[in-house]
Amino acid sequence: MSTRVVITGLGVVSPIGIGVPQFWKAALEGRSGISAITSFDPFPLEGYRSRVAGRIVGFSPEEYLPAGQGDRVDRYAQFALVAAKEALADADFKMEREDPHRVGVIVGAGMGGMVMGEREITQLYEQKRPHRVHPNFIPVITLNSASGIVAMAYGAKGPNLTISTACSSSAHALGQAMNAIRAGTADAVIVVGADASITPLVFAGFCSLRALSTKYNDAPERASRPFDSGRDGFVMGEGAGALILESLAHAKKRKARIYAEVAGYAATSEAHHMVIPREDGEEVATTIRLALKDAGVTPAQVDYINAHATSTSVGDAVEVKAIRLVFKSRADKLAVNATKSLVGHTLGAAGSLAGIVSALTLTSGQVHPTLNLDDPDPACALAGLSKEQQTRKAKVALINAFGFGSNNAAVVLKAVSS
Amino acid sequence: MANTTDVSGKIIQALAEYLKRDATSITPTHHLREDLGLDSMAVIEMLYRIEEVFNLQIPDQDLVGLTTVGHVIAYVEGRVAPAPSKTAAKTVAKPAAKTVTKKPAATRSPKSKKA
Repeated sequence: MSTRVVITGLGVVSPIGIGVPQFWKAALEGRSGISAITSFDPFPLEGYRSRVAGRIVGFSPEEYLPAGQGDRVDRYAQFALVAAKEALADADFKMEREDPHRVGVIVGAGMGGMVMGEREITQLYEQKRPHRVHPNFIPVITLNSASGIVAMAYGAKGPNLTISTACSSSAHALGQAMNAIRAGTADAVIVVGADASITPLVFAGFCSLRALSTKYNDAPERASRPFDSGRDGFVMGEGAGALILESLAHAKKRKARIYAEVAGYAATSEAHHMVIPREDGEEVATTIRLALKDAGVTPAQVDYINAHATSTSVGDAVEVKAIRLVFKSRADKLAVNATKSLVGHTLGAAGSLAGIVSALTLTSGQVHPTLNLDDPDPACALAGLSKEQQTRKAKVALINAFGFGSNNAAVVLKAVSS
Repeated sequence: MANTTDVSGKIIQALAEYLKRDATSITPTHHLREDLGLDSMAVIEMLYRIEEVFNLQIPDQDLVGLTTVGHVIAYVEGRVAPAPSKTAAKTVAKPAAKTVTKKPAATRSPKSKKA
Protein backbone atom coordinates (compact mmCIF):
# COMPACT_ATOMS: atom_id res chain seq x y z
CA MET A 1 0.00 0.00 0.00
CA SER A 2 1.29 3.41 -0.92
CA THR A 3 2.24 6.04 1.64
CA ARG A 4 -0.83 7.64 3.17
CA VAL A 5 -1.00 11.42 3.08
CA VAL A 6 -2.86 13.58 5.58
CA ILE A 7 -3.83 17.21 6.12
CA THR A 8 -2.60 18.65 9.41
CA GLY A 9 -2.96 22.41 9.03
CA LEU A 10 -5.24 24.95 7.34
CA GLY A 11 -5.03 28.64 6.52
CA VAL A 12 -7.43 30.98 4.71
CA VAL A 13 -7.55 34.47 3.27
CA SER A 14 -11.01 35.02 1.83
CA PRO A 15 -13.71 37.60 1.19
CA ILE A 16 -15.67 36.16 4.14
CA GLY A 17 -12.81 36.13 6.58
CA ILE A 18 -9.09 35.99 7.10
CA GLY A 19 -8.29 32.98 9.26
CA VAL A 20 -9.98 29.59 9.33
CA PRO A 21 -12.26 30.21 12.35
CA GLN A 22 -13.72 33.40 10.83
CA PHE A 23 -14.01 31.81 7.38
CA TRP A 24 -15.72 28.64 8.59
CA LYS A 25 -18.15 30.48 10.87
CA ALA A 26 -19.16 32.78 8.02
CA ALA A 27 -19.43 29.83 5.62
CA LEU A 28 -21.77 27.89 7.91
CA GLU A 29 -23.84 31.00 8.52
CA GLY A 30 -24.09 31.46 4.76
CA ARG A 31 -22.59 34.93 4.67
CA SER A 32 -21.86 36.30 1.22
CA GLY A 33 -18.49 37.84 0.46
CA ILE A 34 -19.70 39.42 -2.76
CA SER A 35 -19.94 43.18 -2.93
CA ALA A 36 -20.38 45.91 -5.51
CA ILE A 37 -17.38 47.27 -7.36
CA THR A 38 -17.84 50.98 -6.94
CA SER A 39 -14.73 52.15 -8.74
CA PHE A 40 -12.07 51.02 -11.16
CA ASP A 41 -10.52 54.45 -11.11
CA PRO A 42 -9.57 55.94 -13.59
CA PHE A 43 -11.58 53.64 -15.83
CA PRO A 44 -15.27 54.35 -16.38
CA LEU A 45 -17.32 51.82 -14.46
CA GLU A 46 -19.91 51.71 -17.23
CA GLY A 47 -17.26 50.03 -19.37
CA TYR A 48 -17.57 46.98 -17.17
CA ARG A 49 -20.61 44.81 -17.76
CA SER A 50 -20.14 43.06 -14.43
CA ARG A 51 -19.73 45.20 -11.33
CA VAL A 52 -19.68 42.66 -8.52
CA ALA A 53 -16.82 40.70 -7.00
CA GLY A 54 -15.63 38.85 -3.94
CA ARG A 55 -12.99 41.28 -2.80
CA ILE A 56 -10.92 41.32 0.36
CA VAL A 57 -11.38 44.87 1.52
CA GLY A 58 -8.77 46.63 3.63
CA PHE A 59 -6.15 43.87 3.51
CA SER A 60 -2.76 45.03 4.68
CA PRO A 61 0.00 42.41 4.79
CA GLU A 62 1.81 44.15 7.68
CA GLU A 63 -1.07 43.19 9.92
CA TYR A 64 -0.28 39.51 9.46
CA LEU A 65 3.33 39.18 8.33
CA PRO A 66 6.74 40.01 9.79
CA ALA A 67 7.95 43.46 8.67
CA GLY A 68 9.14 43.49 5.08
CA GLN A 69 8.20 39.88 4.26
CA GLY A 70 5.50 40.83 1.78
CA ASP A 71 7.09 44.01 0.44
CA ARG A 72 8.54 42.68 -2.78
CA VAL A 73 5.70 40.46 -3.92
CA ASP A 74 2.30 41.02 -5.43
CA ARG A 75 -1.03 40.86 -3.63
CA TYR A 76 -1.68 37.20 -4.50
CA ALA A 77 1.67 36.17 -3.00
CA GLN A 78 0.95 38.23 0.11
CA PHE A 79 -2.29 36.28 0.46
CA ALA A 80 -0.28 33.08 0.03
CA LEU A 81 2.16 34.10 2.77
CA VAL A 82 -0.65 34.90 5.20
CA ALA A 83 -2.50 31.64 4.51
CA ALA A 84 0.70 29.58 4.76
CA LYS A 85 1.62 31.21 8.05
CA GLU A 86 -1.74 30.29 9.55
CA ALA A 87 -1.61 26.73 8.21
CA LEU A 88 1.88 26.10 9.61
CA ALA A 89 0.88 27.46 13.01
CA ASP A 90 -2.36 25.45 12.90
CA ALA A 91 -0.34 22.29 12.18
CA ASP A 92 2.18 23.21 14.89
CA PHE A 93 4.71 22.56 12.13
CA LYS A 94 8.15 23.77 13.19
CA MET A 95 10.72 24.01 10.41
CA GLU A 96 13.61 23.83 12.86
CA ARG A 97 12.54 20.26 13.70
CA GLU A 98 12.44 19.22 10.02
CA ASP A 99 14.97 18.26 7.39
CA PRO A 100 14.44 21.34 5.20
CA HIS A 101 15.05 19.42 1.98
CA ARG A 102 12.12 17.15 2.86
CA VAL A 103 9.61 20.03 3.06
CA GLY A 104 8.20 21.21 -0.27
CA VAL A 105 5.99 24.06 -1.40
CA ILE A 106 3.46 23.62 -4.21
CA VAL A 107 1.37 26.61 -5.20
CA GLY A 108 -1.57 26.79 -7.55
CA ALA A 109 -2.03 30.20 -9.19
CA GLY A 110 -4.05 31.11 -12.22
CA MET A 111 -3.16 34.71 -12.98
CA GLY A 112 -0.35 35.61 -10.57
CA GLY A 113 1.12 39.07 -10.02
CA MET A 114 -1.33 41.09 -12.05
CA VAL A 115 -1.48 44.16 -9.81
CA MET A 116 2.09 45.15 -10.57
CA GLY A 117 1.92 43.48 -13.97
CA GLU A 118 -0.88 45.73 -15.17
CA ARG A 119 0.61 48.85 -13.65
CA GLU A 120 4.00 48.39 -15.26
CA ILE A 121 2.62 47.46 -18.67
CA THR A 122 0.28 50.44 -18.63
CA GLN A 123 3.03 52.83 -17.63
CA LEU A 124 5.40 51.50 -20.26
CA TYR A 125 2.89 51.88 -23.07
CA GLU A 126 1.66 55.29 -21.90
CA GLN A 127 4.96 56.87 -20.98
CA LYS A 128 7.26 55.08 -23.44
CA ARG A 129 10.06 55.00 -20.88
CA PRO A 130 11.47 51.47 -20.92
CA HIS A 131 14.15 52.44 -18.40
CA ARG A 132 11.41 53.15 -15.85
CA VAL A 133 10.05 49.60 -15.80
CA HIS A 134 10.42 48.53 -12.18
CA PRO A 135 13.39 46.25 -11.43
CA ASN A 136 11.07 43.92 -9.55
CA PHE A 137 8.64 43.54 -12.44
CA ILE A 138 10.03 40.21 -13.68
CA PRO A 139 10.45 38.52 -10.28
CA VAL A 140 6.93 39.63 -9.32
CA ILE A 141 5.09 38.53 -12.44
CA THR A 142 7.00 35.29 -12.83
CA LEU A 143 4.31 32.84 -11.81
CA ASN A 144 6.37 31.07 -9.14
CA SER A 145 6.86 34.20 -7.04
CA ALA A 146 4.44 32.89 -4.41
CA SER A 147 5.98 29.42 -4.12
CA GLY A 148 9.39 31.07 -3.95
CA ILE A 149 8.52 33.58 -1.24
CA VAL A 150 6.70 30.99 0.90
CA ALA A 151 9.77 28.72 0.80
CA MET A 152 12.04 31.65 1.67
CA ALA A 153 9.83 32.71 4.55
CA TYR A 154 10.18 29.30 6.21
CA GLY A 155 13.35 27.78 4.79
CA ALA A 156 11.49 24.99 3.00
CA LYS A 157 14.12 23.58 0.63
CA GLY A 158 12.26 20.62 -0.85
CA PRO A 159 10.44 20.48 -4.20
CA ASN A 160 9.20 23.96 -5.05
CA LEU A 161 6.63 24.11 -7.79
CA THR A 162 3.87 26.25 -9.20
CA ILE A 163 0.95 24.80 -11.06
CA SER A 164 -1.05 27.05 -13.33
CA THR A 165 -4.10 25.44 -14.85
CA ALA A 166 -6.46 28.37 -14.46
CA CYS A 167 -9.39 27.55 -12.18
CA SER A 168 -8.21 24.06 -11.27
CA SER A 169 -4.66 25.15 -10.30
CA SER A 170 -4.72 24.46 -6.59
CA ALA A 171 -6.73 21.24 -6.87
CA HIS A 172 -3.76 20.00 -8.88
CA ALA A 173 -1.42 21.48 -6.27
CA LEU A 174 -3.15 19.29 -3.68
CA GLY A 175 -2.94 16.23 -5.90
CA GLN A 176 0.66 16.79 -6.91
CA ALA A 177 1.64 17.35 -3.28
CA MET A 178 -0.01 14.03 -2.40
CA ASN A 179 1.93 12.37 -5.21
CA ALA A 180 5.24 13.93 -4.10
CA ILE A 181 4.75 12.55 -0.60
CA ARG A 182 3.63 9.17 -1.93
CA ALA A 183 6.71 9.07 -4.16
CA GLY A 184 8.89 9.76 -1.15
CA THR A 185 10.34 13.01 -2.43
CA ALA A 186 9.01 14.99 0.54
CA ASP A 187 7.78 14.32 4.08
CA ALA A 188 5.58 17.37 4.01
CA VAL A 189 4.36 19.90 1.49
CA ILE A 190 2.95 23.37 2.09
CA VAL A 191 0.13 23.53 -0.46
CA VAL A 192 -1.20 26.95 -1.37
CA GLY A 193 -3.74 28.23 -3.85
CA ALA A 194 -3.78 31.98 -4.43
CA ASP A 195 -5.00 34.64 -6.81
CA ALA A 196 -5.70 38.37 -6.61
CA SER A 197 -6.56 39.58 -10.04
CA ILE A 198 -9.69 41.68 -9.69
CA THR A 199 -7.70 44.23 -11.61
CA PRO A 200 -8.89 46.58 -14.38
CA LEU A 201 -7.46 44.51 -17.24
CA VAL A 202 -8.17 40.98 -16.01
CA PHE A 203 -11.65 41.90 -14.89
CA ALA A 204 -12.34 43.53 -18.26
CA GLY A 205 -11.01 40.39 -19.96
CA PHE A 206 -13.44 38.16 -18.11
CA CYS A 207 -16.23 40.65 -18.92
CA SER A 208 -15.33 40.49 -22.60
CA LEU A 209 -15.33 36.71 -22.44
CA ARG A 210 -18.97 37.04 -21.24
CA ALA A 211 -18.05 34.75 -18.37
CA LEU A 212 -19.18 37.00 -15.50
CA SER A 213 -22.54 37.64 -13.92
CA THR A 214 -24.10 40.92 -15.07
CA LYS A 215 -27.75 40.65 -13.96
CA TYR A 216 -27.13 41.29 -10.28
CA ASN A 217 -24.98 44.43 -10.31
CA ASP A 218 -27.52 46.07 -8.01
CA ALA A 219 -27.80 43.03 -5.73
CA PRO A 220 -24.22 41.78 -5.41
CA GLU A 221 -24.93 39.14 -2.77
CA ARG A 222 -27.32 37.44 -5.15
CA ALA A 223 -24.92 37.30 -8.11
CA SER A 224 -23.09 34.05 -7.33
CA ARG A 225 -25.84 31.42 -7.56
CA PRO A 226 -24.50 28.02 -8.64
CA PHE A 227 -27.16 25.52 -9.76
CA ASP A 228 -29.93 28.13 -9.58
CA SER A 229 -32.04 28.82 -12.64
CA GLY A 230 -31.28 32.54 -12.30
CA ARG A 231 -27.51 32.11 -12.65
CA ASP A 232 -25.84 34.11 -15.39
CA GLY A 233 -22.10 33.72 -15.03
CA PHE A 234 -19.48 33.56 -12.33
CA VAL A 235 -18.43 36.26 -9.89
CA MET A 236 -14.73 36.92 -9.57
CA GLY A 237 -13.24 36.46 -6.16
CA GLU A 238 -9.76 36.67 -4.67
CA GLY A 239 -7.96 34.99 -1.81
CA ALA A 240 -5.75 32.12 -0.77
CA GLY A 241 -5.99 28.79 0.93
CA ALA A 242 -3.15 26.80 2.46
CA LEU A 243 -3.00 23.18 3.61
CA ILE A 244 -0.14 21.33 5.27
CA LEU A 245 0.13 17.86 3.78
CA GLU A 246 2.41 15.23 5.26
CA SER A 247 2.82 11.51 5.29
CA LEU A 248 0.71 9.78 7.90
CA ALA A 249 3.88 8.37 9.47
CA HIS A 250 5.43 11.83 9.71
CA ALA A 251 2.25 13.29 11.21
CA LYS A 252 2.00 10.48 13.75
CA LYS A 253 5.65 10.79 14.68
CA ARG A 254 5.20 14.41 15.64
CA LYS A 255 1.76 13.73 17.15
CA ALA A 256 0.03 16.16 14.81
CA ARG A 257 -3.73 16.67 14.80
CA ILE A 258 -5.11 15.23 11.55
CA TYR A 259 -8.02 16.79 9.67
CA ALA A 260 -8.37 14.27 6.86
CA GLU A 261 -6.53 12.00 4.50
CA VAL A 262 -5.82 13.04 0.91
CA ALA A 263 -6.59 9.67 -0.59
CA GLY A 264 -6.93 10.07 -4.33
CA TYR A 265 -6.36 12.39 -7.25
CA ALA A 266 -6.87 12.45 -10.98
CA ALA A 267 -5.73 14.90 -13.63
CA THR A 268 -7.09 14.82 -17.17
CA SER A 269 -7.54 16.96 -20.21
CA GLU A 270 -10.72 17.03 -22.24
CA ALA A 271 -8.61 17.99 -25.25
CA HIS A 272 -11.78 19.69 -26.41
CA HIS A 273 -12.07 23.49 -26.16
CA MET A 274 -10.21 26.33 -24.45
CA VAL A 275 -13.18 27.51 -22.37
CA ILE A 276 -16.19 25.26 -23.05
CA PRO A 277 -16.54 21.86 -21.33
CA ARG A 278 -17.77 18.80 -23.18
CA GLU A 279 -21.50 19.02 -22.69
CA ASP A 280 -22.13 15.31 -22.18
CA GLY A 281 -20.06 15.37 -18.98
CA GLU A 282 -18.20 12.19 -19.96
CA GLU A 283 -14.74 13.65 -19.45
CA VAL A 284 -15.59 15.05 -16.04
CA ALA A 285 -17.12 11.70 -15.12
CA THR A 286 -13.94 9.92 -16.18
CA THR A 287 -11.86 12.28 -14.04
CA ILE A 288 -14.03 11.58 -11.00
CA ARG A 289 -13.86 7.81 -11.58
CA LEU A 290 -10.08 7.91 -11.86
CA ALA A 291 -9.76 9.85 -8.61
CA LEU A 292 -12.08 7.44 -6.78
CA LYS A 293 -10.08 4.50 -8.13
CA ASP A 294 -6.85 6.14 -6.99
CA ALA A 295 -8.38 6.53 -3.52
CA GLY A 296 -9.57 2.94 -3.48
CA VAL A 297 -13.20 3.89 -2.92
CA THR A 298 -16.35 3.13 -4.87
CA PRO A 299 -18.98 5.74 -5.79
CA ALA A 300 -21.22 4.16 -3.14
CA GLN A 301 -18.75 5.20 -0.42
CA VAL A 302 -18.77 8.90 -1.26
CA ASP A 303 -20.87 11.11 1.03
CA TYR A 304 -20.09 14.68 0.07
CA ILE A 305 -19.08 16.66 -3.00
CA ASN A 306 -17.54 20.10 -2.97
CA ALA A 307 -18.62 21.03 -6.47
CA HIS A 308 -16.64 23.19 -8.86
CA ALA A 309 -19.94 25.01 -9.51
CA THR A 310 -18.92 28.43 -10.77
CA SER A 311 -22.48 29.64 -11.46
CA THR A 312 -22.14 29.53 -15.23
CA SER A 313 -24.99 28.22 -17.32
CA VAL A 314 -23.15 25.39 -19.08
CA GLY A 315 -20.53 24.51 -16.47
CA ASP A 316 -22.90 23.75 -13.59
CA ALA A 317 -25.16 21.59 -15.73
CA VAL A 318 -22.24 19.58 -17.12
CA GLU A 319 -20.92 18.94 -13.63
CA VAL A 320 -24.27 17.59 -12.44
CA LYS A 321 -24.50 15.42 -15.56
CA ALA A 322 -21.12 13.97 -14.72
CA ILE A 323 -22.09 13.41 -11.09
CA ARG A 324 -25.17 11.49 -12.28
CA LEU A 325 -23.07 9.44 -14.69
CA VAL A 326 -20.72 8.35 -11.91
CA PHE A 327 -23.01 8.09 -8.90
CA LYS A 328 -26.27 7.06 -10.58
CA SER A 329 -28.98 6.69 -7.92
CA ARG A 330 -26.55 7.66 -5.18
CA ALA A 331 -26.24 11.12 -6.73
CA ASP A 332 -29.32 12.25 -4.78
CA LYS A 333 -28.03 10.82 -1.53
CA LEU A 334 -24.86 12.90 -1.55
CA ALA A 335 -24.51 16.18 0.29
CA VAL A 336 -23.32 18.74 -2.23
CA ASN A 337 -22.41 22.40 -1.92
CA ALA A 338 -20.77 25.20 -3.85
CA THR A 339 -18.19 27.27 -1.99
CA LYS A 340 -18.15 29.79 -4.84
CA SER A 341 -21.67 30.85 -3.82
CA LEU A 342 -20.00 32.41 -0.74
CA VAL A 343 -16.75 33.87 -2.02
CA GLY A 344 -17.07 33.93 -5.79
CA HIS A 345 -14.58 32.25 -8.06
CA THR A 346 -11.15 32.78 -6.56
CA LEU A 347 -9.46 31.17 -9.61
CA GLY A 348 -6.12 29.80 -8.43
CA ALA A 349 -7.30 29.70 -4.82
CA ALA A 350 -10.52 27.81 -5.56
CA GLY A 351 -9.15 24.26 -5.28
CA SER A 352 -7.38 24.98 -2.01
CA LEU A 353 -10.50 26.57 -0.51
CA ALA A 354 -12.48 23.52 -1.65
CA GLY A 355 -9.88 21.34 0.08
CA ILE A 356 -10.18 23.33 3.29
CA VAL A 357 -13.98 23.28 3.22
CA SER A 358 -13.99 19.53 2.53
CA ALA A 359 -11.56 18.81 5.38
CA LEU A 360 -13.68 20.88 7.76
CA THR A 361 -16.86 19.18 6.53
CA LEU A 362 -15.35 15.75 7.25
CA THR A 363 -14.23 16.76 10.74
CA SER A 364 -17.31 18.76 11.78
CA GLY A 365 -20.11 16.96 9.98
CA GLN A 366 -21.40 20.37 8.87
CA VAL A 367 -22.10 21.23 5.24
CA HIS A 368 -22.16 24.94 4.48
CA PRO A 369 -25.16 26.34 2.58
CA THR A 370 -25.16 27.01 -1.14
CA LEU A 371 -26.30 30.60 -1.33
CA ASN A 372 -29.00 31.86 -3.66
CA LEU A 373 -30.38 28.45 -4.50
CA ASP A 374 -33.82 29.99 -4.66
CA ASP A 375 -35.11 28.23 -7.73
CA PRO A 376 -32.97 25.15 -8.43
CA ASP A 377 -32.42 24.63 -12.15
CA PRO A 378 -33.97 21.28 -13.14
CA ALA A 379 -30.90 20.68 -15.32
CA CYS A 380 -28.73 20.82 -12.19
CA ALA A 381 -31.07 19.31 -9.64
CA LEU A 382 -29.47 17.26 -6.89
CA ALA A 383 -31.39 16.38 -3.74
CA GLY A 384 -28.37 17.03 -1.55
CA LEU A 385 -28.00 20.68 -2.54
CA SER A 386 -29.42 23.15 -0.08
CA LYS A 387 -29.41 26.82 0.69
CA GLU A 388 -29.51 25.83 4.33
CA GLN A 389 -26.68 24.42 6.43
CA GLN A 390 -26.82 20.60 6.56
CA THR A 391 -25.49 18.09 9.05
CA ARG A 392 -23.91 15.05 7.49
CA LYS A 393 -21.53 12.52 8.99
CA ALA A 394 -19.39 12.28 5.88
CA LYS A 395 -16.51 9.86 5.56
CA VAL A 396 -15.47 10.42 1.96
CA ALA A 397 -15.41 13.78 0.17
CA LEU A 398 -14.91 14.53 -3.51
CA ILE A 399 -13.54 17.83 -4.78
CA ASN A 400 -14.17 18.75 -8.41
CA ALA A 401 -12.13 21.40 -10.20
CA PHE A 402 -12.13 22.35 -13.85
CA GLY A 403 -10.02 24.92 -15.63
CA PHE A 404 -9.80 26.76 -18.90
CA GLY A 405 -7.60 24.95 -21.34
CA SER A 406 -9.84 21.86 -21.18
CA ASN A 407 -8.40 20.93 -17.80
CA ASN A 408 -9.99 18.68 -15.17
CA ALA A 409 -8.99 17.61 -11.67
CA ALA A 410 -10.63 15.60 -8.93
CA VAL A 411 -9.35 15.03 -5.40
CA VAL A 412 -10.71 12.58 -2.83
CA LEU A 413 -10.45 13.17 0.92
CA LYS A 414 -11.24 10.58 3.57
CA ALA A 415 -12.14 11.11 7.19
CA VAL A 416 -9.24 9.89 9.33
CA SER A 417 -11.30 7.29 11.16
CA SER A 418 -12.27 5.55 7.92
CA MET B 1 19.56 74.24 -9.99
CA ALA B 2 20.65 71.14 -8.08
CA ASN B 3 23.34 72.05 -5.62
CA THR B 4 25.45 69.70 -3.50
CA THR B 5 23.25 69.71 -0.41
CA ASP B 6 20.16 69.11 -2.53
CA VAL B 7 21.65 65.99 -4.07
CA SER B 8 22.96 64.62 -0.81
CA GLY B 9 19.72 65.35 1.02
CA LYS B 10 17.53 63.86 -1.70
CA ILE B 11 19.60 60.70 -1.91
CA ILE B 12 19.61 60.17 1.83
CA GLN B 13 15.87 60.87 1.89
CA ALA B 14 15.29 58.32 -0.89
CA LEU B 15 17.39 55.78 0.98
CA ALA B 16 15.57 56.47 4.24
CA GLU B 17 12.20 55.93 2.55
CA TYR B 18 13.39 52.75 0.90
CA LEU B 19 14.89 51.38 4.11
CA LYS B 20 12.02 52.70 6.25
CA ARG B 21 14.43 54.29 8.70
CA ASP B 22 15.27 57.76 9.90
CA ALA B 23 17.23 59.90 7.44
CA THR B 24 19.49 61.18 10.23
CA SER B 25 20.74 57.63 10.80
CA ILE B 26 22.21 57.44 7.29
CA THR B 27 25.60 59.00 6.52
CA PRO B 28 27.72 59.19 3.36
CA THR B 29 30.30 56.81 4.87
CA HIS B 30 27.74 54.02 5.13
CA HIS B 31 28.49 51.02 2.94
CA LEU B 32 25.34 50.05 1.05
CA ARG B 33 25.76 46.32 1.61
CA GLU B 34 27.78 46.09 4.84
CA ASP B 35 26.17 48.92 6.81
CA LEU B 36 22.72 49.33 5.29
CA GLY B 37 22.13 45.66 4.47
CA LEU B 38 21.23 46.21 0.82
CA ASP B 39 21.73 43.12 -1.33
CA SER B 40 22.42 43.53 -5.04
CA MET B 41 18.71 43.50 -5.88
CA ALA B 42 18.01 46.11 -3.22
CA VAL B 43 20.79 48.34 -4.59
CA ILE B 44 19.14 48.15 -8.01
CA GLU B 45 15.75 49.05 -6.54
CA MET B 46 17.26 51.93 -4.59
CA LEU B 47 19.05 53.28 -7.68
CA TYR B 48 15.77 52.95 -9.60
CA ARG B 49 14.27 55.43 -7.14
CA ILE B 50 17.24 57.74 -7.41
CA GLU B 51 17.04 57.66 -11.21
CA GLU B 52 13.46 58.90 -10.88
CA VAL B 53 14.30 61.61 -8.37
CA PHE B 54 17.04 63.06 -10.57
CA ASN B 55 15.60 62.07 -13.94
CA LEU B 56 18.71 60.06 -14.74
CA GLN B 57 19.57 56.84 -16.47
CA ILE B 58 22.52 55.15 -14.79
CA PRO B 59 24.34 52.86 -17.24
CA ASP B 60 25.30 49.37 -16.05
CA GLN B 61 29.01 50.08 -16.21
CA ASP B 62 28.62 52.91 -13.67
CA LEU B 63 27.09 50.63 -11.02
CA VAL B 64 30.43 49.02 -10.14
CA GLY B 65 31.87 51.89 -8.13
CA LEU B 66 28.69 52.68 -6.21
CA THR B 67 29.29 50.86 -2.94
CA THR B 68 28.79 53.60 -0.35
CA VAL B 69 26.20 56.33 0.14
CA GLY B 70 28.99 58.83 -0.54
CA HIS B 71 29.80 57.16 -3.86
CA VAL B 72 26.19 57.48 -4.94
CA ILE B 73 26.05 61.13 -3.89
CA ALA B 74 29.29 61.96 -5.71
CA TYR B 75 28.18 60.08 -8.81
CA VAL B 76 24.80 61.82 -8.97
CA GLU B 77 26.38 65.22 -8.29
CA GLY B 78 28.66 64.57 -11.26
CA ARG B 79 25.73 63.75 -13.44
CA VAL B 80 23.44 66.62 -12.46
CA ALA B 81 26.09 69.34 -12.05
CA PRO B 82 24.80 72.66 -13.44
CA ALA B 83 26.01 73.20 -16.95
CA PRO B 84 28.93 75.66 -17.00
CA SER B 85 27.66 77.34 -20.17
CA LYS B 86 24.56 77.33 -22.32
CA THR B 87 26.23 75.39 -25.12
CA ALA B 88 27.12 72.58 -22.70
CA ALA B 89 23.43 72.08 -22.00
CA LYS B 90 23.18 70.27 -25.30
CA THR B 91 25.25 67.39 -23.91
CA VAL B 92 22.64 66.77 -21.23
CA ALA B 93 20.34 65.37 -23.85
CA LYS B 94 18.91 62.38 -22.04
CA PRO B 95 16.54 64.09 -19.61
CA ALA B 96 15.21 66.19 -22.48
CA ALA B 97 14.14 63.04 -24.27
CA LYS B 98 11.24 62.82 -21.84
CA THR B 99 9.66 66.02 -23.11
CA VAL B 100 10.18 64.92 -26.70
CA THR B 101 8.12 61.78 -26.17
CA LYS B 102 5.41 63.73 -24.42
CA LYS B 103 4.82 66.19 -27.23
CA PRO B 104 3.32 63.85 -29.82
CA ALA B 105 1.11 62.36 -27.13
CA ALA B 106 -0.20 65.78 -26.23
CA THR B 107 -1.00 66.67 -29.81
CA ARG B 108 -2.56 63.31 -30.47
CA SER B 109 -5.03 63.18 -27.62
CA PRO B 110 -7.23 66.17 -28.51
CA LYS B 111 -7.61 64.75 -32.01
CA SER B 112 -8.71 61.39 -30.77
CA LYS B 113 -11.21 63.03 -28.45
CA LYS B 114 -12.82 64.91 -31.31
CA ALA B 115 -12.99 61.79 -33.46
